[in-house]
Formats: sequence, C-alpha cells, structure tokens
Amino acid sequence: MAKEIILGIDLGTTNSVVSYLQADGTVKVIPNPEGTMTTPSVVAFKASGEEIVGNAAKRQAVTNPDTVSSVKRLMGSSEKLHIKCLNKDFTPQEISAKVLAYMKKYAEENLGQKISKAVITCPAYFNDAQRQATKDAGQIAGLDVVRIINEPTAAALAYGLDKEKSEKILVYDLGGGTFDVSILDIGDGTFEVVSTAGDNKLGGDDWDKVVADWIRAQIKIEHGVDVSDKMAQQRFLDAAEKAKIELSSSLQTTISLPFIAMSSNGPINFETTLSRAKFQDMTKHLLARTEEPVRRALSDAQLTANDLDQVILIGGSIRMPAVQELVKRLTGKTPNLSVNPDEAVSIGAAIQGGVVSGDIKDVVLLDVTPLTLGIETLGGMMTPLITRNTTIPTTKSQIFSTAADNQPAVDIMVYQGERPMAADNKLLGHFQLTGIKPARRGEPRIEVTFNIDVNGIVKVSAKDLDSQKEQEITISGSNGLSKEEIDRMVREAEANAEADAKRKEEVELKNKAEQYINSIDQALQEKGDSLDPTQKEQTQKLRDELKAALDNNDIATLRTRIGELEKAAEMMANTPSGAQAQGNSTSDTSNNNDDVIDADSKMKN
Amino acid sequence: MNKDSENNEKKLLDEVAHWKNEYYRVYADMENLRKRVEAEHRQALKYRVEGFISDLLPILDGFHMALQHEPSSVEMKNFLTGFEFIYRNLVSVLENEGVQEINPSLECEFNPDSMQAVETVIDNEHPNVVKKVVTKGYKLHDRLIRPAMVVVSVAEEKKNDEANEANNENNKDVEIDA
Repeated sequence: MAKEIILGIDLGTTNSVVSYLQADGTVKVIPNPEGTMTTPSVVAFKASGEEIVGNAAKRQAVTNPDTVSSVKRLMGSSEKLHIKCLNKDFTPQEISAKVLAYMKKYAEENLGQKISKAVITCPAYFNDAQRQATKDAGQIAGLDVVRIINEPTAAALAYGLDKEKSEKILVYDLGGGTFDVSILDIGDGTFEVVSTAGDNKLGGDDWDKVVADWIRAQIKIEHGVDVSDKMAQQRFLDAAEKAKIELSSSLQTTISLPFIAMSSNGPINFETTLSRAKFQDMTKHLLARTEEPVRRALSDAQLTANDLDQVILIGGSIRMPAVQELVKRLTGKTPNLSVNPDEAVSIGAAIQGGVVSGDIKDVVLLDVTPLTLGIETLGGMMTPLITRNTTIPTTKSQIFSTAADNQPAVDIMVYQGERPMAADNKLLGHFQLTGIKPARRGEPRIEVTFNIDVNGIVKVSAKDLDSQKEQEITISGSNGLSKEEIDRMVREAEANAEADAKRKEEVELKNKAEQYINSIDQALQEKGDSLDPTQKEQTQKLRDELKAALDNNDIATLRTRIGELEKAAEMMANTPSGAQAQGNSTSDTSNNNDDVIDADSKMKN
Repeated sequence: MNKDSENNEKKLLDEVAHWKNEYYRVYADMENLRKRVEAEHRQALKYRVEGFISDLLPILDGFHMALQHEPSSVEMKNFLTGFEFIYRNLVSVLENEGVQEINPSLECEFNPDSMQAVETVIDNEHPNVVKKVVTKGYKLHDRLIRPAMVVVSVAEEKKNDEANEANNENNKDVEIDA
C-alpha cells in the first residue's frame, strides 16, 4: 500500500538535511539516529575498513587524518582524495555518496520502507560537471536521482512561490560555512536563476570565532593569563555560539566560564555580559562582507532593489537580527522568514520530488470551513457545531432540548460567524421541527446534525429522538462569502471579543436565572406542601428577587444571587445526611446535563 | 445488452473500484498517520527534557571541575564535601529522569559514538585509546546529548602525517581534517 517516496536531500558543504513529502502534502524532515535534523557532511575511514559518517565522524576527526569534510567544494573536479589507512583514492562523488547512503539508510529505518529515489540540491552556480558529479554521488549511494535542483529554487518552492504569478526573488543564504545570494525569476511554474554571487568562506562559524577570541582577550585583560589549551578553546567556542543564539532573542547575555584555567591564585572564574550592540559591533566586518555580493547579484541581474517582489532568507545564521536588518536595508523589503531556515532547501527538494512523481497533483486539496457554523440557542446565543478551519467533509451532532414547558416546536436558526451572539453573525437559513410531544422544558431530546459534504454544501437536520420526527434544510452558497467578507467577519470577531464575552456572560447568567426560577416554580408546585413554611418562604423570596433582577436587567444582582444559590446548593449536596430531602429540590435545578443546551425557545404562534 | 451499455457498465464498475480503492487508501493513510503521531508523541515525551538537560550540563561540569581541586585547608575541605553532596543530589535527580553519565575509563578504546576527541597524545603501543577525560558526556535514555570530551592516543607515524598535512599548502579547498 505504501506509496513510493522520493527523498528531498540538501547535500550541504558542512551539513546535510533529508526530508520527504507526506501523504497529506506536507513535508517532514527526517531526524538522524541521534535525533537531530541536520547531519554533518563528514566521512571518516579506518584501517579496519570501517566507515564512519555524520556526527560520529566529526567527533573523531582530530584522531584520524583520514577524515574528510567539506568535500562539496571539490565536486566536479578530477581531484582524488587519498585515504592513507586504506591506501586508496576516492573521487569526491564517492565520498559524497557515503553521506547520501548514510542518510538514505536512516530515512529508510525511520519510514520503515525501502527508498530508491531522491531529488538532490546543488548551488545555483554549479556547472554541468559539478551537477553530474552530484548526480553520480546519488547513483553510487543507490539512489535514482530524479532531479538536481538549485538550492535557491528549492528555497522558493519551500515558500510556495511557484504560482502562476511572475516574480523576481532574492534568496540570501548564510549557512554555517558558506554564503550565497541568488536572484530568481519565477513565472509559469519555471524558475530561472538570473544571477548568483557569494563568498564560499563566510558563515556563522566566523561569528563564533570572533566572540571566542574576544572572550580569550578579556580573560587576558582581567586575569593576565592567556588561556590557549584546546579544551578551553572549545569551551570558548561553545560559549560564543550560545551567546550568539541568545542575542538573537535578547539584548544582553551572560557568558559564564567557571574554572576556565588555573593560576597561582587557584582557579580562574570568568564571567561577563555581552550586549547585542557590542556583539554586532565586533562582527560588523563579517556582516559587511555579505553586502557586496547582494549588490553584485542585483547589478548582474540588471535589477534594482525596487524590482524585487520577494526576499527569502535561508541558512541558520539568518536568525541574527543584524542580518535581517541588513537585508531589509539593502532591499527595502521585509524578508520572509516563515520556513525553518536550516530545513528550507531540503523541504523544497521534497516538494520537487512530489511534483516529479505527480503526487502534488494527486494531493486531494481538502477545504476548510472559513467560518464557524452553529445554531441560535436560548437568549440569542450562537452555539457552534462546526468550528472555523475544520477540514471538510465533516459531520457533527449535538443534542439540544426545549426552553419552555410543553413547547411544541423548535426553530433551528443556522448561523455562520465568529461572534458569540447569533444576531451578529450571518443567518444562513432556518427551519422548524414541529410535533414535539408535550413535555417539561429540557426533557425532549432533539439531535441537531450539521453535515458539510466535499463540495462545501451544508445540510442541517433536526431529529426528535422520542418521536423520530425529522426535518432538514440544505444550505447552498454558504461558501458564497468572498475572501474579504470572511476576513471582515473574523476581524470583527477579534475586535469585539471583549464586549462579546461580556454579553455572552450576561446572557448565560440570565439563562441560568430563568432555569433556576423555573425549577423553583416546579419544586414549589410539586413539593410545596411538604416543605417547611420558613424554607418555602425563603425560597419564594429568592425566586422573586431573581425574577425582579431578570426583568430589570440587573446583572450585578443576578450574579450575586446566583452565586449564593449555587453555594447553598453545593453545601447541601456536600452535607452527608439530614439535608438530603431539602437538597433534592435544588439539585434538580443544577441538573445541567452538559450535552443538553436549551434550544431557541421561539414557539410557533 | 448492446455494446454501449456494456461499455458503460464496465466504466462504472471501474470507477467504483477506483473510488473504493481511494476510500480504503484514505483509511489506511489515517491509520498510518495515527500510528506515526502516537510514536512521535511517545518519543517527544521521552525526550521532552532534552533541551533543559543540555542547558544543565555546563552547571554539572562546573561542579565537577570545582570538586576536582585539592582542598588546601580543613575548612575548605568541609565546604567541598558539602558541595559534593549537592552535586550528587543533582546527579541523582537527573538519573531519575533517564540521564546517564558517560565517563570512559582510561585506556579504553576511543568510541566516536559517545566520545569526542579534543586532543591527541602520542602512544605507539596503545593507539586510539582514551588517555584523559576532559569532561564527562551524557545520554538521555539511549540518545546522546553530549559526547564525553576526551584526549586520545595516536601512533607517532600518524602524528607526523598530520603535521605534514597541516603544513601542506597544496591542500585544496577541501580540508582533510586532522
């Protein structure tokens, strides 16, 4: 049953990412066995013939000269890599193949099925030989490379920029070790790379180094010791990276390095604060190095910043606010940041895989209801049955009841909208269910069902579960609302949220009061004679107070009285014995089945 | 039955079969999705503390480094003993959450699955073994949160090669990491 999966692979210089298109049309990045989404593009060989790939290869790099990283820089050249322990030469594509094979393997383990196809990305500036080498690497790894696509194109795909509309897009890609700028011309589903520029020795790691050096210098100033051992260097780099990440979300960070070294006075403990301003100042020369390529890409494309329709930022380092500000200043556009910048390229490759296999066309585009659908209930409230953004087709039912004794019919008023009061929403239609047998309010069970079919046609039916009588209405044109109307309705709901909530609470209080009055009336009528006269009088008084407050629309009094009443009922319910008999009359009033909401009480004349 | 209606019937039957297949496929997809989400949810619960734990590691390191120093006075020794208790309590809280320490024994074989080599020393008789543990590593259940940072022995000949490599200006863009 399993469909064939085409992997999307971002085969990077320092790190690689693999993802796939799921059955529902969304893309998922596959984590490696260590649980991380990116895998270092590092391969190591051992004399035993063992090969180590990824994180483990990176971790043993200092012990093993037969460790290869950044082989992407050699792709397409005739250069061979000599692996001493095996006394054997490898081509760059053979090394890359080992990274791909490793990713293929863990993807297969994760997905539980064999995988034989992939879309692999490469830089826009790769020539034919480099592209062919990338394709060969895939083949050596046992993958049928169905397409090689440009990294910026993949990023644009990840952002869904493959619409009919013709657009000019600038892609700014600042990764861990390389920087690329590309300008794309998109139209009619085609992507043309108009120009590229970059700096293949610039990346986020350079920012870390600057901060690490600064920490070392600060320690020298403060303690007069130049800390240079390798372990300390590693701690400086780790602390620097952590500080960099923290400064993306806060304006200041603390760098704390206890026991960083030993001096004649015992251990050296170093702690300092680094502000974002200071960090940006000490790394501004790095940022400046990205400016020139942006200008060059624009001028090569014979465009000005004004001609650009969109700016996309990818690569982990673009999380730095200074980078975003720079791009904004250079292009005059607020950059699009909605896709994870580390994963965007791989995601785009997986989408391309879906296009190639025809899956994207096959994806059933399921609609959602743009607005909430519901019916009007007691007090003019809107009771939602199908909430906004529910995927259709769908069916929802709820049981309602009558609001008055012996109510012979219920009006089902169908509304669409987000406001809690029905009248503020749009009335879609209404019908009546008649022939309800005489009964106390709240006793009849009327099942209301909303059904939206795949075409968005809404059917609402109401069924009296006692008499099995049924009535229904089909509402066409419920989706006839324009995008503007829908947006307006959602906006209005947000704008009125506070006032609406207050109104809703008032109506609920009033409904409750009415319910209590009704129950008290009923109790007095039925058991009035058996009640203690004082208690009867008290109850009658409370009922009259409630009624008066209700008639005068005195919300404050209603709230206090109902609060008292509920407290009293609760106390009685919690009293183990003696109060039982009295408790009965009130417990009836709070017999509020959650599923039963009193339906609109409008009766047929 | 004429040819047309026969054809028509076949067409309709094919269509029924097609939609039946699509229908079951959707159910199967749903079932698979549900299983997947459940599995991921279990994973997420199991490793939910991962980020928090990895933020705690430098603090554990700090304790560990503090406790390694020889006390110079009785008073200091008593303080350090107290700190050691606090450290052990912290470690036991973490152990209860599924955190395991990776503290390789000296002279054991270097394993990059759980260790990171930060430096090398020459030992021709016993290459590729752990000579010193600089900081401990940690695992959460079976997932590595941080490798143990270790000093690893290499044979002399290799060390020389490494030096040559480093000095070799002819190295292309690609780095043979050493």
